[in-house]
Amino acid sequence: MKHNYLFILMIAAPGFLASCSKQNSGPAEMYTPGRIFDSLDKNGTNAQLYLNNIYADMPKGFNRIDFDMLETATDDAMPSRDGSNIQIFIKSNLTNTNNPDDSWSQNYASIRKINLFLSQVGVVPVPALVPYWKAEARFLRALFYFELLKRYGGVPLIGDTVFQPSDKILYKRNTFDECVTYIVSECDSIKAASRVEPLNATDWGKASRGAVMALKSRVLLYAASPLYNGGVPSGGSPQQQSYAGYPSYDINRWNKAAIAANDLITLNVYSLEPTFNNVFLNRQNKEVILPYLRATTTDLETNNGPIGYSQSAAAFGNTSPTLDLVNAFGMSNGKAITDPTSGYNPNDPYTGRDPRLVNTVLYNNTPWLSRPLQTYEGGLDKPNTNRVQTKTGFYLRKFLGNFTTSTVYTAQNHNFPIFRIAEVMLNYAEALNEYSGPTAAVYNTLINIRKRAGIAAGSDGKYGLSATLTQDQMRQVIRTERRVEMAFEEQRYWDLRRWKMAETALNSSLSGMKIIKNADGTFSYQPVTAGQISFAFPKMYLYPIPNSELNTNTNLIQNFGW
Amino acid sequence: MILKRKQVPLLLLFLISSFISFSQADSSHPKSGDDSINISKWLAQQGPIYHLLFQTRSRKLNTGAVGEIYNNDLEKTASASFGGTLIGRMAGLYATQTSGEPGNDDVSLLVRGQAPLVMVDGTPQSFVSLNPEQIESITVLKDPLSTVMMGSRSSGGVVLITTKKGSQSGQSITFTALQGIQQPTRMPNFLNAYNYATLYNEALANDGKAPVYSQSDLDAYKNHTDPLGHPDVDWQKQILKNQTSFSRYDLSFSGGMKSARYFANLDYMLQDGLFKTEKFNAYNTNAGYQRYIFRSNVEIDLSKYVTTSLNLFGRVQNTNQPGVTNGTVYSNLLSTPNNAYPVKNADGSLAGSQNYLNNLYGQTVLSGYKPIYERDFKVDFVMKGNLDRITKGLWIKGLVAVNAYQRETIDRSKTFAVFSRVADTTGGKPPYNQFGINGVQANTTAINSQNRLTYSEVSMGYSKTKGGHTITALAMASNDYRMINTNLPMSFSGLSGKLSYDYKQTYMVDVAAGYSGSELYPQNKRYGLFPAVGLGWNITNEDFLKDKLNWLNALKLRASYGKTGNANAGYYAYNQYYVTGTGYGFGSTIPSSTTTLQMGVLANPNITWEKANKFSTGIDATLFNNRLDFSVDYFNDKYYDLLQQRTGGSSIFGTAYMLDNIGTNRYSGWELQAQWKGSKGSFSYFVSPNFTLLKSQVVYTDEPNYQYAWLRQTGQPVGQAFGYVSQGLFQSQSDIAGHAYQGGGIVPGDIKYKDLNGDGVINGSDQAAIGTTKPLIYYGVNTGFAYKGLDLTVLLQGVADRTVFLTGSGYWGFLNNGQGQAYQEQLGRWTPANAANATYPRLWIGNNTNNMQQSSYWAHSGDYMRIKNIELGYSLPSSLLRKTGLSVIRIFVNATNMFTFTSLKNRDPEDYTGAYPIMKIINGGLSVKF
Repeated sequence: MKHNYLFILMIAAPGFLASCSKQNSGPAEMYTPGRIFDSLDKNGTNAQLYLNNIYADMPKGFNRIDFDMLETATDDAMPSRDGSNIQIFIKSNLTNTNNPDDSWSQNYASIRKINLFLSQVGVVPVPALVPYWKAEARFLRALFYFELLKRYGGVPLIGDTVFQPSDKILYKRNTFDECVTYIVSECDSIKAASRVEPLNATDWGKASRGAVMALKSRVLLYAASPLYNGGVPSGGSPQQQSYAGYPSYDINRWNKAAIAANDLITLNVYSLEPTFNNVFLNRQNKEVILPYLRATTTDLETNNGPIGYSQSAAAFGNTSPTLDLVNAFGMSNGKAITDPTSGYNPNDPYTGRDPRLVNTVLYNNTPWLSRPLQTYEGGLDKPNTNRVQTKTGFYLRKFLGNFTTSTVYTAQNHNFPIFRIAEVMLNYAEALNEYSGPTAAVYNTLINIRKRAGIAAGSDGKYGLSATLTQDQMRQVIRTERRVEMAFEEQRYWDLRRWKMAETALNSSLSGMKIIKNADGTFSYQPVTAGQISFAFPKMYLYPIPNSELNTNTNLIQNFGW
Repeated sequence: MILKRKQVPLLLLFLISSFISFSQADSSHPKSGDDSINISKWLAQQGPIYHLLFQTRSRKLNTGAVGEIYNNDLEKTASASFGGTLIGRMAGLYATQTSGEPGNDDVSLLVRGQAPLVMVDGTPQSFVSLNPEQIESITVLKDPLSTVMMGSRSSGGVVLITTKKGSQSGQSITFTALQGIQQPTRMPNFLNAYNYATLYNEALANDGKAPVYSQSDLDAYKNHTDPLGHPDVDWQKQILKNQTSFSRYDLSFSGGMKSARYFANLDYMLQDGLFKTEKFNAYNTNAGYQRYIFRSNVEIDLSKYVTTSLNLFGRVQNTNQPGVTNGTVYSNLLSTPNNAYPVKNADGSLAGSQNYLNNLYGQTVLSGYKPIYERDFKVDFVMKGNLDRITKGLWIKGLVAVNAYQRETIDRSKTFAVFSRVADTTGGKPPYNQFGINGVQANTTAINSQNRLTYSEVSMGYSKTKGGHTITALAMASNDYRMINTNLPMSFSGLSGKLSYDYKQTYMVDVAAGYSGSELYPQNKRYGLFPAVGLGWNITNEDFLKDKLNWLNALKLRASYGKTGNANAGYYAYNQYYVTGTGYGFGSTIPSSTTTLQMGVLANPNITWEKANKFSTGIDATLFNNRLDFSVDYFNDKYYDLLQQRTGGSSIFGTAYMLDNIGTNRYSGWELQAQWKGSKGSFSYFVSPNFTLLKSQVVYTDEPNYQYAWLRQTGQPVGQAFGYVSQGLFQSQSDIAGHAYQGGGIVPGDIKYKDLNGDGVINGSDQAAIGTTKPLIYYGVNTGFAYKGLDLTVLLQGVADRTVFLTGSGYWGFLNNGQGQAYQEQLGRWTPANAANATYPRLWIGNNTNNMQQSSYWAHSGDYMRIKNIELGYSLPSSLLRKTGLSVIRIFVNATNMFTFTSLKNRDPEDYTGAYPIMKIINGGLSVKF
């Protein structure tokens, strides 16, 4: 009988097992909110890492749309691949459910991160840094609002609210005017609290006073531009009009833009890098005001480099710059190629050109990776087989490392320049020309940019600029200068819109260069139509608000035409 | 810890009972282990009992909705997983298979629309890949009463696998061998290079682009005059075999004596893959799956009062695949046109380019191999004691089950270079450009997955009959402790019980409840109570019917109602955590760390289990001298507090909404399971159909207050597809101009969408429910006959009112920027000449925003009917065997997935995306019993 007791114990054992297992309340290795905004963290380490995360949401540029650059939806370039998502813009196929550059929810997600940071960071005991952090966070918020504004027009401004899941979010859109005012007032109020240049080496890349001023300059330039400054295309309700811009033209908006740009230029802490390429290849340089920092990579080379190389120099050649862009580059004497006195030779089209051309576009016979580029018909880089290849006879050069004499691609700094001083100078020249005509200050600004570009001063010291430009002529010069200087930096796409030129410039055919290699080794050049681009007027001037947002927030009014 | 208090009374009870000695051993355990192979065995067998959760119960007294099938049916379908053997056999169980990849061809099971909890021998520790020989029965518990004792895991229904036990009826040894071949059921047809290039040019022209293939290119493709420069490689033929092998060997021992019984089983299975191999490899690069299983179930009567059983289960699964993995080869088949590159260049090197780095031949035989080794074991230890001495009919039982599993992947993959011939070889440049590198074979090992599960249970039961009243009671405490990978241990623990009463086996009342909790839920909100009740009435026992109707042998009405739970919260979803985000770091030099932190998924501090109120009722009848059996069931289950994300919220909120207990769905339906059997002389036959109609409806889901009713999911079937409503294809520019605006770049031959709200623009407001919205119907017919030694069974299985969307890289041509494959379907494209008969829109390259929208254009009927299984067997007459000492020799041939009837062309109705195909398997076999 005795062993029956034992059995009973054995039977009961599982009961003990069942009762003694300790229940956990959560994994200890995970970060709880108290560890992020920690009143005992003397260094504020985790709060800093949280803020760093918001920086990672800044505009990244480069091949960001399905491996195509935003410029492939402009007259500057074409996608080399057929059927990639960028064609949605090229064909004006955009809908409120299908927008490859939709950033509505992404920017509001970043704004939430910031508002949460602002509401919590006060407990972190680092008095020396908290004011900087708050200024950085508010700068980033203003930047994200601007990213929304240029895409959608006026958007709901939510202030410092951190929404709770139970909140009914039924915000109305603020007007374009209100959004500009908000962004500018944020810039004004954080300017004094921001880090003053020069930054510590370890702080390089953080939003400083200069970044705040550069954002203000860009916002005011946009606000003064033809599309918004009393130029909203007709149609739609007064409300829709108010989201799209100002009801009437005000020349003072150009003045404000000019002053904002000049304020930053005259700080004299940012200046043009003597060597154009270094702006893009040196992690820290004198010219960039705010970069998107990354580790070194070869992604720009691999995505955009010519296709005729192998192994560690193999590339996809996704971006085909157009002949239109190439033709926008003048000669090294500063004159446009259409100028009969420029010295341009259509049979030798790349000789004697603006030195920025060779650093922006790879063209036939230019040395690359230790051999001349072969974009002639049947050449290594344009073999005309079923491979993806350039559609225009050109490949992208800008941002790529200096690989003229290398044989392989090695990792390079590829930090997207969100703001750089050359843009601010062009902002200044453009705004000032509009406000007060082609004054000496306008000339001097352009001359500075051309001088750095390597254009010859000329006997008159005007770097190829005619001394007698009218305001209208100067406008064209500035716009071309901006196109050339800022190519592939996500400016052209938005510039064409704010200049209200997209309806013509983006409703056109795009050209390329067909090159035949002759038996004697020389080349014949023949401009050809390489493709088409279309722009649905006027609705493509603004993106549609995503359909899901309209469904969930019935107070939102869609942009006109969508 | 909460459990500890609750268990005190129970434990006290055990201690008290231990001072009292026991009387007679319990004999209630079913002795159904006789697996003799005889002629009548193929007849769908029905035992007198059901295996229910933690108990067995007479079929006659059962008030729940239960289906049970036995070993003899399971053995007929060739499938690695037990789920595969269930397809088409049971009403209320929807089983589908979407891949035939060896070692990864699991069958998904849905019981009344829900994913069931699978249990083996009463423990929540299960195995997908099992041999049928060790299974005595598989029971599907569909109603609330039958599952509610699982507490917060009771909503999905339970699939209960019961393994075989030995019996006292003497020793038997059974050996079964199967050897066969397998072939894909269906595969997409790829375009040859000439058609591909021709259509490619046409697609470019449709978008106003210049052709890339010249007439001389096309001629070269057509005439195969330049196989290196203008290749036309049929990649399926190049890298895949037409058929491959399947084999299985199984050995069982069973027997026992008065105080001990045993069942032991050894099983080996080999399922080869479809890839061709090369002799120069010292290792196997083909896909394949080998499985070794053993089971030993031993039951010993330690005394008159105490029975102990020890079940041991061990399994080794070795899966092989090429270094790039099976999935990669199959997805690359869909992204490699016939003209992409030749297999090899003139110099014997692998061909390819920067766009096609993945030479398919190289991937199958030159990428090394990547075997996966899985091992698991399970030990169940049970002690059961009779407490008849305390009071007759009382027993207690203790059970501990341990299951440990580990999956290890050995990476012996390697990279390879591909070469592309170049025209320009001036300056002594090599004539080939190299892409990629010939890497060194890796040799690393990694444990990808492991778990350690410990289930323990103490239960106590009582049964008493007096004056026609019978009471059966069951009470238990259990703990299911789960350590999975690196997660903190998670446990489900609780109490449950069931009380059954019947009066003269005519009126039955069952009450059952589960009270359970887990760390999935916030402290103090961990435990929930789930009750259910069942009622039954054996009408034929009533005096007014008894012996009055000869044709009616038995008729029972039954119903059950209860509240069940589904514990499906994520890992500590009630705590807010911060997680690492996109890397970003500052400094004039690249910082060593770019870690950043961001808020993770929003916590839901109120998260709780999903619940369901379920009603199930049915009739069981036996008629015509027990020749016809049928059951008709109706159920109506309301699932509520379903964890869903709010979709009615604005994204200005700034982060994804957390999962909230907000949804409500209703599933209802009808089930019929019937069997007719008959015999005349030595000829006997049966027909056993089953039929299920499953209706589902979204009762509530958080969605915006849509302006248009057709946008709402509420009221539609659960999982209803939404998209644009196709009106065919645009026929002309004037057709486009006269229709609502669909965006720029629309050309004739593009899909025309219905402007539902009539606003002249096709956009998100024009998306409605597409495809069928009818209830899903699935059915099976199992039928067969036996004549003398010969037997034949056929299982037919089908699904109706099902929609499949033929989209994606396995159906659309020229995807991936034109680098993708194209299919026979593209030949039916719209062209001005073929406008009337077009079965596909005009061609395009890469993505097409208009045509690639989810729309009813791509919806096809997914209805199908399969001859799931045919088995023809012959058993040698026993007169011949007498001298040999063998009791049975049976030879048989069986075929699985032999014929499929569907309106889909070149696509299997279950596996239609172009993944590893599912297989038809034809086996010859021999079964010998000593």
